[in-house]
Amino acid sequence: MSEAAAATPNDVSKQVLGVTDGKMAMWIFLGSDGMSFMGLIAAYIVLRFNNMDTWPSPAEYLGIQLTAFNTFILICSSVTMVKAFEGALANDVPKLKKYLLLTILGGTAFLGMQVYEYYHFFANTHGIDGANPFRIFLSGIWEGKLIDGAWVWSHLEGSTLFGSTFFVMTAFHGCHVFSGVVYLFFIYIGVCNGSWNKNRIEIVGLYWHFVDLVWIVIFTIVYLVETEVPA
Amino acid sequence: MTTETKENVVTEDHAEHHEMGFWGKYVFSRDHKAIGMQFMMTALFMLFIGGGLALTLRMRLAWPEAEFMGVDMKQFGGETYNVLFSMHATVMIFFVIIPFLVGAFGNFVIPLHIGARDMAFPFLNGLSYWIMPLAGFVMFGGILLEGVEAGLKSGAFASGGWTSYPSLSVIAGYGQTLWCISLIIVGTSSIMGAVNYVTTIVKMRAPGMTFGRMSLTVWSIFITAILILFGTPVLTSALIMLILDRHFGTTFFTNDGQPLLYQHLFWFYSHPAVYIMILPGMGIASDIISVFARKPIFGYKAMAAAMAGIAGLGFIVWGHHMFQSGMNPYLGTYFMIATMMIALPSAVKSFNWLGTLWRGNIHFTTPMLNALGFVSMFIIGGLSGIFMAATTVDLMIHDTYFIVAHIHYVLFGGSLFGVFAGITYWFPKMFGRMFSETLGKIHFVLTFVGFNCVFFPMHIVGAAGLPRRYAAYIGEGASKTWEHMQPYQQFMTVSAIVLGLAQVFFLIALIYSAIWGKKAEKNPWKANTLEWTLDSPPPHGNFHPDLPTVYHGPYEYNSALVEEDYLPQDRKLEAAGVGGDDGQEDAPSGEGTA
Amino acid sequence: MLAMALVAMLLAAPAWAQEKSADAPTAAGQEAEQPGLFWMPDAISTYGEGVDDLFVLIFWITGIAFVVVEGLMLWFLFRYRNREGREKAHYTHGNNKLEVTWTLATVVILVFIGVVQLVGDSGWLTIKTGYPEKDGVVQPGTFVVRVYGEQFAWHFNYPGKDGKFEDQRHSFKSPTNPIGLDDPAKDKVLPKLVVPENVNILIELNALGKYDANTETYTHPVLHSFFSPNLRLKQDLVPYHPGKIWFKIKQGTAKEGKKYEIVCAELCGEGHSNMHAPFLVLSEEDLAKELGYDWKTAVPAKFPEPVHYHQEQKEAE
Repeated sequence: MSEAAAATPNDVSKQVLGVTDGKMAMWIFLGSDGMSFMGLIAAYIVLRFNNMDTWPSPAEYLGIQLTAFNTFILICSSVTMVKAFEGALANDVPKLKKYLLLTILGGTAFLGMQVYEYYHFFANTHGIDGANPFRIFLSGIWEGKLIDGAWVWSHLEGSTLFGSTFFVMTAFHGCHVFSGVVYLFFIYIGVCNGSWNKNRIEIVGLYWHFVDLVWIVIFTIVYLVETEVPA
Repeated sequence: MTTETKENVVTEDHAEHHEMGFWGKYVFSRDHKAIGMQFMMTALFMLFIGGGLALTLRMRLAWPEAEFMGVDMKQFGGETYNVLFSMHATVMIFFVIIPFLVGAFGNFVIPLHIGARDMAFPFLNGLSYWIMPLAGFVMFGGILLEGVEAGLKSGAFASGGWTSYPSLSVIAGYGQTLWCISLIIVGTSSIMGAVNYVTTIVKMRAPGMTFGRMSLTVWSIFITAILILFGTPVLTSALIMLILDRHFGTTFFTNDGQPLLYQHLFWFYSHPAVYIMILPGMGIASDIISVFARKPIFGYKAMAAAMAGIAGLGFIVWGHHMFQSGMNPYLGTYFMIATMMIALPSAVKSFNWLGTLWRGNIHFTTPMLNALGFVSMFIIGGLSGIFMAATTVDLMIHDTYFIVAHIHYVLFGGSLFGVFAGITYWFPKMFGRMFSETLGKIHFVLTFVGFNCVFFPMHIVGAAGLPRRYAAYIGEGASKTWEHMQPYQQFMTVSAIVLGLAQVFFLIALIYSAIWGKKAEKNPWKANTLEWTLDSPPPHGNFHPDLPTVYHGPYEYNSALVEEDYLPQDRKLEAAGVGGDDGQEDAPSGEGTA
Repeated sequence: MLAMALVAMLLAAPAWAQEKSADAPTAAGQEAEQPGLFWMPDAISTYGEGVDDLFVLIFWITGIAFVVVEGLMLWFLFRYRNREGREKAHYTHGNNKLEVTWTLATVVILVFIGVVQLVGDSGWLTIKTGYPEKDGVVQPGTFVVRVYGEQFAWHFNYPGKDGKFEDQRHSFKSPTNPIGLDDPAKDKVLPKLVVPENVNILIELNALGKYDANTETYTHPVLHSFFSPNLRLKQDLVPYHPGKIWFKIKQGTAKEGKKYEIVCAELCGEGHSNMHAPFLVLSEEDLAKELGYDWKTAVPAKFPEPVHYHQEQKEAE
């Protein structure tokens, strides 16, 4: 796009929304990606409404405290992302680097805790004793047994929807966080090499805030919303 | 914001165009024209695969127990038959029609029509092409792993129809998983393309190219891209759940789960997908009809609005595929009413095409004939849709050959004629030579007659209730109700062979014209849009040295302002603005439609 | 030209097909003789003719639209073709009044078609929700059948003398007890659908999974669709979600003694095209002979709660 053309008063394109190509593409992509979460969330709502009577209370079976803390970390990482962008706007490279790194750490911590959560669900050690209620709801997917010091996983039929929906939604979101962390990592390397610009930082920020926002929705409907108030 | 824009211009790479070697130029090209051609060639190749599958299953239907040249038709029954039609539909929809209309024409035409040097993201564009063959390999992965015969026995190919409803798709062989993965890849490719199209159309229009001066082809692909963006991800999530149900023991669609949930999610994508496959055809046909009727398009705004209306309504009518699926009948009533309404924009478009022909100066070139074929066949397809939209009539004709007739009138009679129109119209810009008029017309006549002979009788047998996806209607074990309709099947099969040969003829005509065709001048059709101001084929980077400035809408034919019967969009008139084209009541103007 | 060719084909084809089917020894001559539009088979349900009427109505509306639009198009193509002495086209960008007019006209026609299908005895909601039931209890005098579709066969479960459907479990399935009824002797199970005329018939649709007793392996049921072209009725059998349909056979159908068919209209696997069952409308005497009891004295009030295989397993635990 030559500068001369961009300067023509007749040029309509440059006036549209006043955003760069990359930013616009990210917005469009996020709209599209939001629809894939919409698909899963719609499925969750339909399945839960159709199995109201057998749907367990999330608070009883999911580690809400842990996940609430995890949510807090993800929100904090969004704040550090904003700080990083502030640094980028002010051309303050040390600040940018510091906060980018913090954001990456936040994302990694979130993923780590999610892995920890999964591990305990799968490994059937969440409630330590064999009567762990998790087994009832999640064992249908995988059953793990510790044999000679190694976990042996066996695939079982007949899981219930609570486990199915829980895993597909949190795991799909987890994949997004993972890609976000990788994306941020490459941006960070770029910053270290000096090849960066505000636009790129802003775009990765958009993605990160989106992932954060989606998590708040998922956390709310999967962990918090109760069918009945637990006794 | 201005500072950022400047930075952006520096960092983004579409402004730079280097000399490249063979690989860079023809294989891993970032040039939108080369990528468009790649999409076209791949789709053309897949067209013959899909067509071969179709002919095989038509042979089986006509003579289920016969033997031809040592090929026993009996072997195409049962599961093999299911594989044949599942693969036929999947290939035709995801690897032929969508790549043709969205991939090939979208890439080739958008930058040329809006006056841009390339797409906004050339690399992403190349990537969106290259993952498509990958998806093809995954889809037919069974052939690589086991070969055709062993693969058919062990379920290496999807056989659940292109809809792949659970629970059948949950208990089917591993080919179903390959199918799901393949469609997720194709969907990703579509989304990449769509992000690119929308960004390009919104951001990279040449000076003066307002939304109201965009050609309807660009409008149609713009709207299609939005449909892809909002529909495809939902299919992806449904397919993910299906894969989990198949291999990881979840129960989204079985046991406590909802089999209908899959159908809802599937059609939430796949109904808009039907419009993804017809809208670009509508855009192309509109452009071509206007050019060869030498007349502005009738009701430009109504045309663009109708396409937007189709897209909007397209998202709220998916349930009409599920009237007899056990869905709540009250929900069915809503979907029926919404579906009746979606016939409206289609009708408006048809009337506007008629209006464009009215008092025109009609030249019967090959592209025009194909565009007219599109319009007339789309009208039949649209009208037969009203039968199915009527819930009680649908009781009888749902899942019968009536549906098969309808979908083929829309997708073959509609989309594929649009494709032929587009190829022959832009052929000069693609290959620098003219498509042979004689060969093109022979192809059109053969295809048009063959097509109607294959698919029109399907309405008749469909109205008698002949169920679709049956491997045979006569012979051992078959239902007796429709035995007397077998002559129809034979008639359709013979016509289908003619239709198939006509497409081979098209391929020959295409190769012949590309090599020995008449050299094309810059503007052989005397058309207005920007691509016709360029050399044939246009150079890498399209517009040199400066981008064009646009002064008129794309359909100024036989305007009183100029001597000639056309007025290129970038031609500046001395008296421009004085009673000019933008001043007229219905002339496209401003960004009001945005 | 094209339209004429199509019409000619449409008219010529029936004669051709009938000729053929007369020669073919296996062809069911009865079906070929049936009159009706494009051989839509006989409508034997009470709402069948209403469905056909709507079909014919839409046929005429769309037919007229087709002739007008395609006719105009052909006329324009002929009249305004480029030729000697015709160099210029009329310059216009359209006409808003015309645009609004044809939009409104189309809306009126579409709304008309939409409303027509909702009213009357053949209305959509009447067909799909007008079950002969009151507050979940089957009305007296209703002929009740439970239909099971499996890969690839139909089973028709009649309530038996006790007027009560037996419970069904997949693990009870055996060659002599294809459905897996609790006590197969108490019910009547036939591979064909036999119904009386002129009474309400209520059918519950169940998709039946496969169960191998030797290996104790269970395969999910798949979608089927209960379709009889003569009834003008089609409804899917949704796995794990039993559905209901109702119809009533017109008086005088039994006398004709024709053989009809129930076929599967939703892809269900390799044997899809072979999944069909005879469907007979019988007089009361013939029906009593077929069933072995008088159905009128044995009308069940309710369908039993379905127990699916995953629930069965929990029961077993």
